[in-house]
Amino acid sequence: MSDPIVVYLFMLVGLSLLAGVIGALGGLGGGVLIVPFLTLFIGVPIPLAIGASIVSVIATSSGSAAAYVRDRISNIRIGTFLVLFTTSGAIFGAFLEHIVPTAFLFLTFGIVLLISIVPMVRKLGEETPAEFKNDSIAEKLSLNSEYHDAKQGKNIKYNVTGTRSGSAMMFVAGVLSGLLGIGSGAFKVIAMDLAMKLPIKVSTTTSNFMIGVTAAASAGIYFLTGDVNPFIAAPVAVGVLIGAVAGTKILVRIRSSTVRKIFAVIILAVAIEMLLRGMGVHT
Amino acid sequence: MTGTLEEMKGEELEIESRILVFYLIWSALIAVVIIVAGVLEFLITGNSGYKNISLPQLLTARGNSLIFPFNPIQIIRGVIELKSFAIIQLGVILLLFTPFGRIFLQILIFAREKDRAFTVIAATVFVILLISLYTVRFLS
Repeated sequence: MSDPIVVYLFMLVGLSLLAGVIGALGGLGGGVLIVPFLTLFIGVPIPLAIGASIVSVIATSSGSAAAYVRDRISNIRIGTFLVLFTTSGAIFGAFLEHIVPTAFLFLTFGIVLLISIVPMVRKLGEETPAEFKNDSIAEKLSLNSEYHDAKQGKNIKYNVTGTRSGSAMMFVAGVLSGLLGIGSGAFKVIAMDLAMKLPIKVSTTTSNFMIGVTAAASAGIYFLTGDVNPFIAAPVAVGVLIGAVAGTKILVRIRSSTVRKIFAVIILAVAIEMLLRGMGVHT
Repeated sequence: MTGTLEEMKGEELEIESRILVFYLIWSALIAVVIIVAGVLEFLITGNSGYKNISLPQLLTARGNSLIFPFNPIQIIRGVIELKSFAIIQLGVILLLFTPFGRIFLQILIFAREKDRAFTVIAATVFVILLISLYTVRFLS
């Protein structure tokens, strides 16, 4: 085998590792940086980058989903109900990816990255939300629940509202996941936090529980159309997985909002680069 | 019989979440190990088992089954012949199916809890996932 192939294989692992670490430190899934890194630094065509990314999203999500089922904060009922909408959206997104021009993908990606920065720099919904009643769907499906908050040392009960608008936002999150090969965790959290008014811990953990299933709805499409190239997807999946695990471990130690802000700046730079690509400006 | 109905229900959920956790971790782990095995074979032998091409071609190859397999039958054939790219793709396809298995497991769990609404919801999600595979024929 020629040497450049080996070099590139390790480069792909290294770059994915970095994306995984930065993603985890920034509180993102890690998938969101893979496509920009592959397209901007290695010159991988964007559909192949998306195909590799969606595989890596599933790889990282299974491990974290397991952790969240175990800690019993994630609401599996809400998660299962909402993946109805994210998976439908994801199929639509994967279809869209096959028909829209490349420039559109770069532009959408840039915008999505910009929006992903918002929850990093501005904390979403503070600890315990105000009291309110379940809406009719939440009541019928008994989506309300409680979780144990270790910091406050007590169980926190919560109701669920805005299920309709939350579901609509989940469809959009699914479209973005399928279109861009990302977990779109930030969008899921925003939907549960803003529309359904769930406690932030429940939103983030439930979102993680949902990511893998959402990704599977479009990953099958990418795989069977031949957009999952093993030479790219394998090192990326392994690299992101290791990077995300390492990043999560580091995150527990540093827990500083300044670190988050530094990573927000990195992501901002990547977002601008993607937007410029989309507008046909090569930097 | 000890404990209230509420406590018994809690205990049952515990066992079921344990099954789910076990599944989530092991299914992904097995898939990743297969992927790594395929990559190692590729690195050691230097042979993908498919058409030998240059690096730029390899980095841009899409939907060409001479370069890498992407339908299940080609993959199984390649795996039997121990082709490294086929082994990687087997790991990848197993990884892609882990969420299918997870939802299937949830259908069983909800059904066992006699939670009709959620059994139907989980089953619908499963059908949506299956539909996603079917839609591929409109793209290729």
